[in-house]
This record gives sequence, C-alpha cells and structure tokens, in this order.
Amino acid sequence: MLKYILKRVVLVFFTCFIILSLTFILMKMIPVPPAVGSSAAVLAFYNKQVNLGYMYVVDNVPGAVADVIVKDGNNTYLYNFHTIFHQYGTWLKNIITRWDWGTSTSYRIGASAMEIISERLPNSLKLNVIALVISVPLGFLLGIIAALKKNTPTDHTISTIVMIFISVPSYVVISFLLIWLSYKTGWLPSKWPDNTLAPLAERIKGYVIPVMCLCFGTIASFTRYTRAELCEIMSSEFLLLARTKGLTKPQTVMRHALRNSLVPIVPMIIGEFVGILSGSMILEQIYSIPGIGDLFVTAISNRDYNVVMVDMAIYTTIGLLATLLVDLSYGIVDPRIRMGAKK
Amino acid sequence: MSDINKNNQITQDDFTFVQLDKKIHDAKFETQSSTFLKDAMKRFVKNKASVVCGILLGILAILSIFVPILNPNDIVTSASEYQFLAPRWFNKTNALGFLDGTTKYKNVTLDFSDPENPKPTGSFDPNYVVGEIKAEVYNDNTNASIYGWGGVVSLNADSVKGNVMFVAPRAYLDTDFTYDFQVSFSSHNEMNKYEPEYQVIAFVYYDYSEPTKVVLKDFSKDLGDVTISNISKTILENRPDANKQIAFNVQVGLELKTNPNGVRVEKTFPSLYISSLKVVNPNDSEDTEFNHVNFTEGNEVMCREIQGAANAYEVEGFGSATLYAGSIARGSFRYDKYGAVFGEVTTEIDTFTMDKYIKAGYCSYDYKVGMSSFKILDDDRCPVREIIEQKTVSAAGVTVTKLICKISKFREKGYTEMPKYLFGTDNSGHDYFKVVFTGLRTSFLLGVLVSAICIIFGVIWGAISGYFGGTIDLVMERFTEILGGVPTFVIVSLCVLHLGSGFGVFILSLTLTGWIGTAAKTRSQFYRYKGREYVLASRTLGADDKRLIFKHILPNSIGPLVTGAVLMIPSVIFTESSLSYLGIGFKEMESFGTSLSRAQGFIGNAPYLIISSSIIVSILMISFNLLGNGLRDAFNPSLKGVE
Repeated sequence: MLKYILKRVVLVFFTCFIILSLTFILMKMIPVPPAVGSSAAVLAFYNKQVNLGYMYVVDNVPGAVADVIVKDGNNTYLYNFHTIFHQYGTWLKNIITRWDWGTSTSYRIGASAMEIISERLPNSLKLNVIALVISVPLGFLLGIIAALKKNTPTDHTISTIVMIFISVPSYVVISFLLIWLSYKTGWLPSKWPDNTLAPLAERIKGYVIPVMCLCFGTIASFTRYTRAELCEIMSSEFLLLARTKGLTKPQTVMRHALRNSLVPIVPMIIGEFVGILSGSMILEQIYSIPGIGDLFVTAISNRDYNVVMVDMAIYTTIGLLATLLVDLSYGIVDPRIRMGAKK
Repeated sequence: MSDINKNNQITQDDFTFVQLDKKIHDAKFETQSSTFLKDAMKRFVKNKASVVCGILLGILAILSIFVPILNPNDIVTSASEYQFLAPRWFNKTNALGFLDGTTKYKNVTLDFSDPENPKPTGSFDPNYVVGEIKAEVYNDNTNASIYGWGGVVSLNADSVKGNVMFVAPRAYLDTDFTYDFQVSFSSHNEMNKYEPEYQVIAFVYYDYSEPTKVVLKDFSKDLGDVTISNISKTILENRPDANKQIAFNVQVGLELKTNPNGVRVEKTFPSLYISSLKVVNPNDSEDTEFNHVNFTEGNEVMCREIQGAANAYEVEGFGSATLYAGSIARGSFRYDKYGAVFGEVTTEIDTFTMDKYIKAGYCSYDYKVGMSSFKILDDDRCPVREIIEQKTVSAAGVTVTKLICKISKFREKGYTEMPKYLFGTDNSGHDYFKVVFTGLRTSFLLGVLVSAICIIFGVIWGAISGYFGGTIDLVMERFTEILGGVPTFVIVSLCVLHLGSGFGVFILSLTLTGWIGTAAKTRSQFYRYKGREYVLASRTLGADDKRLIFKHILPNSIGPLVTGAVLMIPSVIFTESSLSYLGIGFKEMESFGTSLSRAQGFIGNAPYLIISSSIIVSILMISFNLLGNGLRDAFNPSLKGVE
C-alpha cells in the first residue's frame, strides 16, 4: 500500500514537472513584446529580465549584435536573449535551489510571483470551500429524497431540475443571477466589493452571487450521483436480505443503503473541489473577483510568464493530487477495493 | 399473428405422412432479423425526451444554416442609431411590455413644468412614450438639474482665501437688455442670528478661462434685500479689454468674506440664508431663457458649516456650491424605441432622392405643379409619406429645389413594415437574432469538425493502446496523462499566441487535448472485449490484428463511442464560448461565444441580449445532454434510466 502511494506521488510530481517544463518552453518560444513606456521603465523592464536570467547585457562596442536596443538619453544599452534552454535552466535552478519562482514582469512589476499568488489564492479557496460546504449536504439530501421517492413526481421534479443545472453553462447562471438579483432588484452588488474598504455587510452580500453560482452545478451533480448510487443499492440483494430479516424500510435505508451509498461520495467531494476551482475562472472574470483564475487570465494576456507558471503549477498540482486522492480514498473508504493489489 | 394462428389450426387429419408435393403445416419463422444499430434505433425512438431533444437540435441546426442566408438584415456595418432595440415579436404594444419592442426606462428626469403632463427630457420623443409616466419627486443632493426646483444650495468655505464664493447664475447675458441683480438675505433661525461682521460682495466674473473679477458692490454689514439695478450696464462698462466681443460669458455671483482680516474664525459658522439670488430682466416679464438657467430662483442659499471643526472651511479651489434637498421629478415609463427610430420624421430631401423614388415607381410627383401632384403608388415601399413644402434654395448662384416632407424611416431602410427584431439589436444596431445564429453556425461547425477529428484519432489511439497492452499501453497512457494534465485554457492560449486566432488554430488547439477522453473510453472498451471468446475464435481462424480490431472489437464497442461523440459537440461549443468569455476566443470571426461575451458587457442596460442567447445555449446544452443519455440507453439497454 505504502509503496503504491509513494509510486503515485512520485508520478504526480514527475507529471507536474513535465507539464510545467513544456509550458515554460512553449511560452518562451513566443516573442516577448517590446516594453513600452518611459525609457526608465523600459530599462527597468529589461534589467529585470537580466536579473531573472533570461537576458544578458551586451557591451556597447561597434559591431555588437543585440536583440533589444534601449536608448536612455545619451546612453545606449544592448540586451540579448539567452537561448530558451538556458532560460529554462536558470528558471529551474532558481526554483530548486531557492524556491524562487521569479518576479512579475508586467502585472505588478517587481513583486514576487509567489507573493501575488498568496494574496489571491485565499479568495478563490474561500469561495470554493463555502460553495462546497453548502452544496455537499444539500446535494446529498436531494439525492436521497429523489432516490427514496423514485419515479414519483418529487423525483421527476428533482431530476429535471438537476438535468437543467448540469447542462446549463455556469456563465448563463451568473448572467441570470446578476440580472435578477443585482440589476433588476438591486439587492446584491453587481461586482465583488473591494475587500479592504467595504463594510462587512457589503462583503457578505458580495459572496452571495458567486457562491450561488458555484453551488447550483455542484448540488446538481451531487444529487445526480447520490440518486444513481442509492437507486442501485436500493435494488440490490443485500437490502432485500435485510428486509427479509425483518428490518423495517427506514432501518434498512439508514443502516445499509445510506452507508453504502456514501462510499463514492467522498472521492466525489474531492473531485468536485477541483472542478469548482477550475470552473470559477469565468466567474472570477465576470464578477471581478481577485482570485487565481482571474489572475491567470490577466497574466497570460499580459504575458507575465512567471506569474502564469506559478498559477499553472497550482492548478496542475491540485488537479493531479486530487486524482491521486480520489484513487486512494476509494481504497480507504471502501474496504472491498485494495490498492495496487496483484490479481 | 392471426395468420399464424390460423395456420396452426391443425386437425387430426393433418397428421399423416406427407408426399413430396403436399402442403405442410409448419409455420415459417417470420420475424425479421435485426442489426445492432436498428435495435438501438428502436429503443431510442421509444425515449420521447431524447427524440424531442433531437428534433430541437435539428431545428437549431437548420436555423443556424438558414438564418444567416435568408435574413437580409445587415450585421456588418455598424449603425449605432438602431442600437439596443428591445425584442419585438408583436405589432401592438401590450400593457406588460412583453416582447412588444418597448423599453422600460427608469429614473428619467422629467420636465415637470406642467405636472398634469410631464415630459421626459433628453433625447426622448414624448410621442413615443407608451402608457403613463409614473412620476416621482426625489430629493436630489448632488445633481443639480435645470429641471429641478426648491432646495438649498450650500456654500463651502475656502480656508486659504478665507472667503466663500458662490457662482450662480451662469448664462449668456443678452447685452441688449438691462438686468437687475437681486439678493435677499435672511437668517436661518432667530436663535442664532447672523451678526453682520462679514463682508458680502456682489461680483462679476468675465469668462471663466481667464477670470477677471470686477466688484459690483460691497455691502458689508449692510444686509437685507439688495437690488443692484442695471448690472448689465456695469458689466459692459467694466469688461476688460480681452472681452471686448459682442457676446461673452459672465458669472454673476456673491462672495461672502468670512474673515476679512485673514484670521481663521474659530467660532461656529453662522447660518446665513440667501432667500433668493437672481438676475432678472425687468423689461421682459417672461424671461424664459433666463428662468431656465437661474436655478436658484426661489431657492435658498445657506452658509453651512462643514462637519468637524478641523475641516471647517476646507474646500477645494475657490469653494463650491452644492445643491441639497432640491426636488426633481423622475419618471419611469415604457418607450417605443422602434417608433422613435423607424417612425416618421419631417425632413428635407433633395430632388435627386425624390427622382430615385419616382424612378423606382414608389410615387409620382410633378415639381411644376407642386404638392397637390404627389401621389403614393406603392404604399408598402414609398418612404415619402407626405410633402409639406417645396422650396427653392439658391446659394452661390445655383438654385436647388428642396422638398420638406414626412419620411417613413423603416421604408427608407428598405423594410415594408416596422421591422421585428426577435432578439432585439446589439450595441452596433445589428439584428441579434442573426448575430446569434451566424455565431452558432461557426460554433456548430467547429464542434462537429473538432469532434470528428478527436473521435477518429482517439479511437485509433485507444485501440492501439488497449489492444496491444503491455509496454506500449504504459507509454501511451503516460503520454495521455501528461497531455491531459495541461489545462485546455493554457493549450488554447499558447496556440492562439503562437498562431493567431483563426478558425484552423481553434480546431488544432481543441483537438490537441480533446481526443484524450475518447482514447481512454476506447481503451477500456478494448480491454473489455479483447479477451472474449469470439475474438479468440477469430484469432484461431487466423485473423490478423487489423481484422480483429476493426471487424470484431470496434463494432462491439461502438455504443459508448457514439454517445461520446454526440456529447463532445456541446463540450466543444462550451469550451469555445468559455474561452471567448475569458477574452482569448475568436477575434476575426463571429462565434456563439463572442456574441455571448459581447452581450455580457451590456447586461445592465440590455439584458434581453444575454437572456436570449443564454436561452439558446441552454436549450442547446440540455438537448445535447438528453440526446446523449437517450443514445447511451439505446446502445446499452442494461443502463436504461440511469442518470
């Protein structure tokens, strides 16, 4: 078991490493847009690149060849790009030796990428956790109701609504919530309130629309999953045995059916968490929430590579670790499954 | 059935030995053999919801093909005058305003001069207001409007200059008239009576760009009702050399010097009201233009303490005047914007335009006879509805005939009736119905192409990986795992940054990772079937790998693959629209995502755009999902009804 887990963890890091390396090289192959602004700012930009180890200064001698020429008053500065693999080496060395993921080059010049991420990660995580805490019990409850009242109007209503919310894209839900709760009635703000300035009530109000938007889809998928799982168990033989033994229906449901239907729910929660995290990118963009999804979009359109790399590292690692956790939790929750067991 | 039963009526006599040519009574096996696909089809048709969804999808597909071709509305050139027209399905306006093309306007400042008949101000034409205007009188603290009345103007002091300045009214003074300047003061309350220890100066500012201040009168310690008669004369006489034009701007105002000695006054600022402050023209009792501008007429001007002793008298610049507790009427009403932009207008056209209409056979007109000769020949198309006047204008030696006439604007645009935009118009004045379906066509095409490529590649990959297994499978699996770990968003943005945002680039970037799901599904199907007995049987008969893969295993695993293919189309459309939302979608082409994300920007003032396109995308997604479920049930009857 331990060997299996170790193997999987190593594989996660290996995959993550390859993905990040590939992305870095691919991104570095895109030409860096020339810096704009005052000559001092341009100079600062290229000096930053030199500090990060992506470029080097060329001596200003006659006949020198340079990729970038910056004129500052009477002085002329020449810069050359290192080869992509040299840049990659430097980047990798900085991460491994100093855990230095570089500094932002255009989003917030000079700030370390890690610092920017750590500022924004809590916002995204907070939203996700709140959404998850609300949707898990609700989804589970609705799923149980639907399964116990299978093929009744209650079940059909729940299943239809679930079907709709699973199919409808999240941006449609946000749009309708915004129109209804914000523009039509004016109950809630149409934008994420500024965290430091807004009073507490405003900030709480600001959570409602994004959390609702994240919840609908999650509740729907939980409900669908629980219903399917419970329906299958309700028609299984061991439940029939329990009934023939003399247990009442509520007893069988409580003691046998529910407990067994819980098994796939735990891995499902982990999976949903990742789903919400990556799905909130559009939400963050539309509702202007300062989270990592919004940052990712901003950074990639400004070609702030270091920030993009850290952001991507987070997304990839969380995604891969979640897959690992899902696999492992199956084994922990359900004793029938043995990890890495030889058949 | 009945036929068989009849044949089966066998009597005892029939149980005899038969001769070769005698009739035998065995019933022939009459049911037809059914193929796998036919069987699935039969089950699929039984699922009503899926069939309905399939039909809905078909309708959407047909619409997306034919709407861009058959709808004549222009969606390329921008025509901002037709922007944000609400959806219009019915000709008559209804009380609810439901899809009748009217737009609800809220909080429009009203001209309340006639309370019985308030008029919306701004660019609204009162003729096209539908129904009643619900007027409400507000207290407006910040926005002084020329349509407001009542209220108090507060004066903010200037700590540096140590004085208070109030600038009002501001207008073009007509030099032909004589104007009087009237001020009357009163105290806020009797308890805190104003002690006239301050200086009050009436002054005039010539032009605010280069202000020259001329003191008209100094009434220090001399408060009460004051009238400076004929200030216009003083203004004209005192104007500096720079302002010797006929018309110039002046600001007539009051200055209250709070501390003439330049010492900061520590005591509470007194409450001084200016009961009225106006510039009047005694010769003209109507004086409409001035009344309009003279906002403070009938208002009070109060010297008010700014809260907190520390910031007493602290104001920017020379101080500012703010209206508070003023009243303003605002109204909500439904407005027929279609009527306003497509209705009839009185305008002037030249003979060239008129000749064009005559030549087209829309109407007949004889310039020599005049208005009475005008006749509409084609009522549906003739833009000229009525000729009001024919006139000749001569300029620079050329005489031109002009016609002043009533023009019907929708006929001028080429419509035969008031246009109906089913989804309204967007910010460029385009018919959003056509915009949405033109975008949907691109998205459908993208979805189908990407799915086709992904399915083909994924099946081949999965087949190889699943069939051969072992090391090949392991290597291929790791490869897909790594590729699948890269978020789609990153892949697409990298492709777009490298190759631009064309249609081909999107196909490429979406197929790069899109095939992984199909490959995984195919692989597991192959693992399931490759050990089956019939495969073994075929192998022992000498079938090669190619035959086993394509003839035996793949046809058996086709069910989930078909379902996957159907479900991939909406996921591609969804991905594309999400990417457009994030700002890295199509740039040159109109796709469903780009029209949606553009509509998102106008969610506040034109919500019908996002609602209509959202409904379409929701129908699309729900239909695809239900259709996919139906197909899955059809191909795998043991899974029937499982969500």
